[in-house]
Order: sequence, then structure tokens, then C-alpha cells
Amino acid sequence: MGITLNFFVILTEIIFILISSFIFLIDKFIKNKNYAFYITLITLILACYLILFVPFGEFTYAYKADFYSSTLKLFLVCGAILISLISYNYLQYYINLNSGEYYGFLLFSIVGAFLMLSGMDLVTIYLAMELMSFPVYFLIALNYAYNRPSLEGALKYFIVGSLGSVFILIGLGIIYYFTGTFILQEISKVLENNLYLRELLIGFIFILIGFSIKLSLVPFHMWAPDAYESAPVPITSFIAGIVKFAVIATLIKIILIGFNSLRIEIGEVLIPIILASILIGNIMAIKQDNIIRMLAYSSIAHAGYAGLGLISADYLGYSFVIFYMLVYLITVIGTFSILVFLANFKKELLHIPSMASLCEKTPFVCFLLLILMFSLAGIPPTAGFIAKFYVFMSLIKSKYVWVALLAILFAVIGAYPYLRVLKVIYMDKQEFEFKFKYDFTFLIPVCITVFLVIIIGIYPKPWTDIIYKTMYFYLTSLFYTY
Amino acid sequence: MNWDLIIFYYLAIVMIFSSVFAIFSRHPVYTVLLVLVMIVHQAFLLLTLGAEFLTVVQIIVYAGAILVLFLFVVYLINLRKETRRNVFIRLVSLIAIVFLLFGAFLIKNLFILISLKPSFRAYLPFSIEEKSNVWWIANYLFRNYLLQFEIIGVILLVAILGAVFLIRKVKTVE
Repeated sequence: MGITLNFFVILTEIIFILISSFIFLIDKFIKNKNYAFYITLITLILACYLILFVPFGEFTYAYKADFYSSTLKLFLVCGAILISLISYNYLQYYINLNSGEYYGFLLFSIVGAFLMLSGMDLVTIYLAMELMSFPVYFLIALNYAYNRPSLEGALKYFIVGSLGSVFILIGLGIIYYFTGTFILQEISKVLENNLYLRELLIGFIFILIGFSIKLSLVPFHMWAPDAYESAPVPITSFIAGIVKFAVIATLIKIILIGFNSLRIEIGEVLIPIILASILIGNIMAIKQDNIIRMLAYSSIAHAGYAGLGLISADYLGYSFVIFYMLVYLITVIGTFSILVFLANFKKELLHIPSMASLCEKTPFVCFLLLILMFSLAGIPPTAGFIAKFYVFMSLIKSKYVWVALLAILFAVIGAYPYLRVLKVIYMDKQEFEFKFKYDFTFLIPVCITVFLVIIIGIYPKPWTDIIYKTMYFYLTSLFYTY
Repeated sequence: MNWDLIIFYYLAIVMIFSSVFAIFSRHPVYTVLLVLVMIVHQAFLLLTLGAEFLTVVQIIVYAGAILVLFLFVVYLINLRKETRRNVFIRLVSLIAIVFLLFGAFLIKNLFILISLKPSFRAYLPFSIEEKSNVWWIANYLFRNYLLQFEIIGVILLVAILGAVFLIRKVKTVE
């Protein structure tokens, strides 16, 4: 059995781990805590470079850097750069949070996401998911200094997350029992011979439960509002954007490589979960007064919309899932950077009714928020509309018209919470003082995201093409090696 | 009915019941002792697969070191106040009910899971008789599963850092 130990391939991960360990080591001795931000920023930019130029290849057979994983990693790193910028902005005002640990844990979590995206083996994917979520628990608990109940949110996330790990392990056990391997390609070989189809479907459903806990799909969504509310605001965008993006991309990878012959059955299993999460996420979002809780419920619904593409069970639909999550990642980072801007001034501004007449104080920020909220609600000139359109189109193409109709109906309900925010901002009147300072670290992420939202909304073709082509080449290169 | 099956079912049933009682027992010392029972049975389950080395490691590390540490902690911290049933258990049972409801989706396939036969030994990808236990474990950990081994190391590092970081003193701002 030939094992290749090509350390050059996993150079990115090694550098990340070394640098975050380094931050933890020297954090005690440095008074000015901003150093960690600069180190993180340099590391992430270096990671962009490395992802583009490190050769594709295997490290043992558990890890494979290829076209698919590298493209998605590049998206992830770009998102992480924007999140670290808004973190810098946030930590200027919340000094107690500003420590090396914040960025150290952030980097560890990104390593987990990387390993997850390029894992070729169920054990690696499981362990990488743990590595991705452990630092997030600590990052939520970090907010303890400002918000005592944040420990509760962290503990809830931890307990539900470990329950999810248990389910994944049961699924791994069942799959190993019937196939005798954890490697995705070997599993697909067993499935192609029509062996143990139902048994492996059960195993996959157990894995799916673990993944849907991380995606906060409906029967497993209880942790989401509490964890989102108690985390520091930039970390909330990390959980909602990057963690969900990595998890859903890995899920698609598992289905594509390992369980390709079962994808129609998997879609059928997902229908009730997805529809319930769209419905409950949207309906619960209506009542929320805290904007972060509202966005938490909306993120449940958005994971549901992305999952619609998984129901459709064809490759085009899968590529639209990733496109949807990419658009959601961009939009959510923009929205949360505006929330950071508001929270920096006064924490009470995150309460929706107290945002009244904000547009008179900062018309520019309110206009950007308008565009982002339109994108979340799915109104035409923005990227959110086009992503929803593609997902519904893929559903209708594969003859699930009733699912698409129900989802569109629920999406109409889902427009209300976002439009309510805009109504309060633009139409309600209230007297209050608002001193603000446009900061570079605020302006860069929010302008980039709004620009991207509009550009993708007007001309989405290159973006969907990139994602579809990565998946297509990936599949051909995996199964028909030249 | 051969002896393998009887031993397997004995070990499995005792493990399940001891872990259920460990969750629901009100006294922390009982909980730790029930977990000890579970771990010893788990070790014997490994012995039925012919993995003597793992059995010994399981007993030495888990039963010998970690659980004794737990017992010390239970003795040192006075937990008598928290032996009452509180909201937390209700929360956990609520989550369990939700999961059971989701299990209803699987119910038509559940009989397959019940009919699993404990013949794991047939699936071992190597013969233990050929080389020693330790040789195979080392071969698998440091060759095939090298990357996973390293990832576990990083996870443990993160967990230690987080634990140390959570117990530090925080200046709370209210």
C-alpha cells in the first residue's frame, strides 16, 4: 500500500497551525494586543497565495488538494479576511475581548474548515469538523466579559454539537460495518455494485443528522438563536457564513464522491427537513425584536433554501447550492459588518425598534443595509434573488414542482422580517444622538460585499460557471483518471 | 447460539444500561462508578475482537487514570446541592424526544439495524495472528491514519487551550 507523504501539499494547514500556536505562545508578553490582528491578516493573505500556488496532490489518502477544495478554500479565506477586518473594528470598542486567543481560535477554526473541505475520508471529515467547531465554542464563551448569558449559548452549542458528533460516529460505524472502509471512493465502489443500498442510506442519514446540526436545520435548530445572540458579533457572522459554507460544501463532496448512487433517495429524505426549516425559520424570524436573533432564524431558513438544491439531486443543483451559500456568505458578512458598526456605537441599537430614524443620521450605511436586506429577502437586482431563482429552477427541472411552490410561498413570508427592519429605519421617527466614525476596517468589508452583491445580481454567469466547472472537472478527474 | 453471541449481547446490554443509569442517577459518585462499569465492559468487548493491547490501554487509561481523576473531583467539590433534578435534565430529555421524532423517518428501515449480527471480526482487514497487536496499531496510526492522528493532536491542543482560557479570571463589564 503506497502512502505518499507530500508535506508541501498541506503547507497551508501547517503554517496556520504553527502561527496560531505562536500567537498563543507570545500573547502573554505583548501589551498591545493589536499585533494578533496583523499576524492573522498576513497569514490569511499568505494562505490565498499558497492555495493558488501549492500543487494539487495527496497526503496519505485522507487528504487531497484539488480543484474543488482549493476554489472553495479561496472563497473561505476571502470571507475570513473580511471577518478579521470587522473583528478588528469591533475589538477596538470591546477592549476586553481583544486578546490573542480571539484570533488564535479563529485561525484554528479555519484550519478545521480547510481540512474538512479536502478530506477524502469520513474519519478525516469528522475530525476536521470537530477541529472547526471546538474553537467556535470557546469564541462564543469569550463574550462572557460583556454578556454573562453567553456561557449558556456556548454550552448549548457544545452539547448539541457533541450530540451531532455522536450521530456522525454511529453513521460511520454502520458504514464501516457494511463496506469495511472509510474512504469515500471505496464506498462508492461498493454502492456501484448495488450492494447494501438501504443499509448505507441509513448510515448516511445518521451522518446527515450530524451535519444538519451544524447547519441548524429544523429539528436541530434550538441552539442557533442563543448561540448567535451570545457570540461576539463578528463571530456570529463566522458561524453563520463560513462554518455553514464549509459544512454544506463538504456534505456535497461526500454525496458526490461517496454516495453518488444514493443521491435521489437522500434528496427524498431531505424534503421534510428542508421545508420545515424554511417555514419555521421564516415564521420565527417575524416575532424577533433583536436583529441578531432575527438573523439567526433567517440563517436557519437560508440553510433550508440552500438545501433545496440537494433535494433536486443533480449536479447543476449541487453547484447552485454552493452558489447560494457563497451569496449568503457575502451577504451575511456585509450585514454583520453593519451590525458591528451599530453595536460599536451602542449595543441597544441591535434592538430593531430602537433603530428608528437611523436613516437621518447615517443615510449611507442605511442604503447599504437596504441593499443587503433586499438580497437576504431575495428582491431582483441583488444576488439573493438570483441565487434563490437558480435553486428553485433546479428543483423544478427535476420535477419537484410542489416543493418549489411551497418554498416560494415560505420565501414570501420570509420577506417580512427584512422589510420590517427597513420600515423601522426609514419610516419610524425617534429622537436620539448618534455620533459615528466611518472606519476603514468597517468601510472595506461592507463596500466590497455590497459591490459583490450587486455585481453577482446583475451578471451571475461567471460565478455559477466557476462553481459548476470546478465540480464538473472534479468529478471527471476523480472517476475517469487519464 | 454460540458463545461469541452470548458474550457480545451480555456486554452490549450491560454497557447500554450502565450508561443510561449513569445519566439518570442523582448521585455523582454513582454516575462515575457506573461509567467505570461501562468502560470495563467496553474493554472486554475489545478483548472479544482479539485486541489485547487496546483492552489493557482502555482499562489503564480510562478506568485507572481518568475515572479516578473524576472521582477525586467529585469528592473535592461538594456537589450535594446539585443532586436535585433540575431544568437541564428536562432540556436533555426534550432534545431526546425531538431526535426520537426524527427517528420516525427511519422507522421503516429500523429493522435492518436491529438485525445486525455482531460479526465484526470478519471485517478486520488484517490477521492479528500474523503480527502482534502493537505492530498493527502502530502501522495503522503512523502510516495510514497519520493525518487523522495529527488532527486529533491539534484538537486536543485546542481543547486544552480553551479549558485554560475559560477558567481564567475575567473582568466582567456589566
